[in-house]
Amino acid sequence: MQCLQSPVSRRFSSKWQQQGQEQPSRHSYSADLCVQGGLPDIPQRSLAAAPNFEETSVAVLSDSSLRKRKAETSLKSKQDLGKVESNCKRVKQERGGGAKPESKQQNSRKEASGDSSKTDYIHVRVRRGQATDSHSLAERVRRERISQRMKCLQELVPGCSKITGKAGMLDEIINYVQSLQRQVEFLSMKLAAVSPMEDIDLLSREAMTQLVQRNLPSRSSSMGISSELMDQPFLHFDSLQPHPCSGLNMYMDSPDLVPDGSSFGSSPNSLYRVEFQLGRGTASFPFQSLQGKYSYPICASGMDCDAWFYVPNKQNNKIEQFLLHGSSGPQIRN
Amino acid sequence: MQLTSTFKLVFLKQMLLGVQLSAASSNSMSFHERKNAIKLSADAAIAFARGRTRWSQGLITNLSKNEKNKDILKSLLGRKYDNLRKPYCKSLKIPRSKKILRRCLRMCSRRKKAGRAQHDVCKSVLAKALAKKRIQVLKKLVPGGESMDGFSLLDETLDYAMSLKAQVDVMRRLLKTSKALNIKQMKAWGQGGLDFTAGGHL
Repeated sequence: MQCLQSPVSRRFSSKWQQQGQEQPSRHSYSADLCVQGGLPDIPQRSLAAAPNFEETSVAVLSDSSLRKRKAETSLKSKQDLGKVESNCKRVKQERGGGAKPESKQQNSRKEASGDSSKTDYIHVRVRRGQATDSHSLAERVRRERISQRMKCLQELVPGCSKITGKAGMLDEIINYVQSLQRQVEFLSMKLAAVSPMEDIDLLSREAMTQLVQRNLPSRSSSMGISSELMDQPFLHFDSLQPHPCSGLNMYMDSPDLVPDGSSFGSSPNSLYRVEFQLGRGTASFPFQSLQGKYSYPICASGMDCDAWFYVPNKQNNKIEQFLLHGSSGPQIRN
Repeated sequence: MQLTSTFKLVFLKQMLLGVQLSAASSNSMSFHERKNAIKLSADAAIAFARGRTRWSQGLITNLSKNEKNKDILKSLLGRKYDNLRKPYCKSLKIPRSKKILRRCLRMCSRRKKAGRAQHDVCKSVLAKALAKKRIQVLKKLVPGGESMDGFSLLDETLDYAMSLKAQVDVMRRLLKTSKALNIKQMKAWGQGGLDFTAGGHL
């Protein structure tokens, strides 16, 4: 009876019914529509159809989760998702353009089911008008990954922001890496010329003190002590006692330093401030760790060098990621 | 990421240690020997400081191809030497099979493209060829790059470039300090000489 109404009038009537109630969301609106039984045929069909869609999508997901984690499975799942979506569109047209909220509800349900099993494969939203072919999907995913990485490289290599296109970017990267390698050669030559090997001890001490002093302008006394301490770990590489550096541990372990979408190699021009507290002292040294003006914390004051390496990799990555965290860029390293 | 101070300090320590070791092993070194020793210790130091990545492993394997360097590397890197020398992936089987696959695909695509319009094919083929050439060059540049595919190659390049930058930076500072040191020494000697000869000036 009412199913013979035009969709527009149907909507109006239901709205008029629901005026007294609170404003329902779109999805609940459609649910109410069905529940109130105003449209026995079509809602039943949609309700019957919707669980089918759900089932198919869930079945697809469970199937694919059973298989090994390979590109093919991800492709197939994408394909199926694409098919489901296109099916949705077809059904929508069948119903004569009505019940838009119902299709949206289906989409939301599909999204929910899709989100729940995100761990197994990559999700790709198939946009309208784009091919759902597995090959083209794979191609698109591959292209997106490449473009993400090219963006990161663009930020890293100076003077690359204007260049678009893969070939030009690759050219710049190659030039940059080559120039860096040549610089290393040149510098090693210069070092060999400047300092004979016997002075290396003195040189090392000086270099250490330089590195430390430059970055902590205050507290010269602690500089002196720490530089001496640093010399010792250098000279007696293996026989060092770990210096209790509680501030450092705090720094390493603090959970608030862990960002959630951390980015690798994000814009080097942004500055990051991290407050670092020395283990023994009361001073807190804000430092900015990037090119241009940088200051290093006394991270290794008296600490065993090996302790740095045997810190579990997770922590290292988190710290480094935090230090680089600025604009939210693509996440390359986990 | 590697522009952090920890990386730089670690690198510096390792490098200076390496130089010390090589100086200890041979008493008098020519200029070239010195330069090679410095370069070797610098490279080993970045690989050490970075940890276990593909390029660092490639670098260590390249360095240890020269027999003379092996001992120095072993003593320098210590425990990490074996760690870094372990092959990341199962030798060259993967790249070989990929090459075969690519060849087959190329044949298939060539047959397909015979039917398509000419100018469309030309553009895409040209672009791909250009990119391919450059990727090949990049593979030669980045240590251990031959056995990597497109994505990981870009990743590793990024990593490698950052550590190279840090390396250059630290070496520059080292150079500065050594120059300053030399100047200081010269001044000290100069003053001592002056004091000795002319009764000195205050």
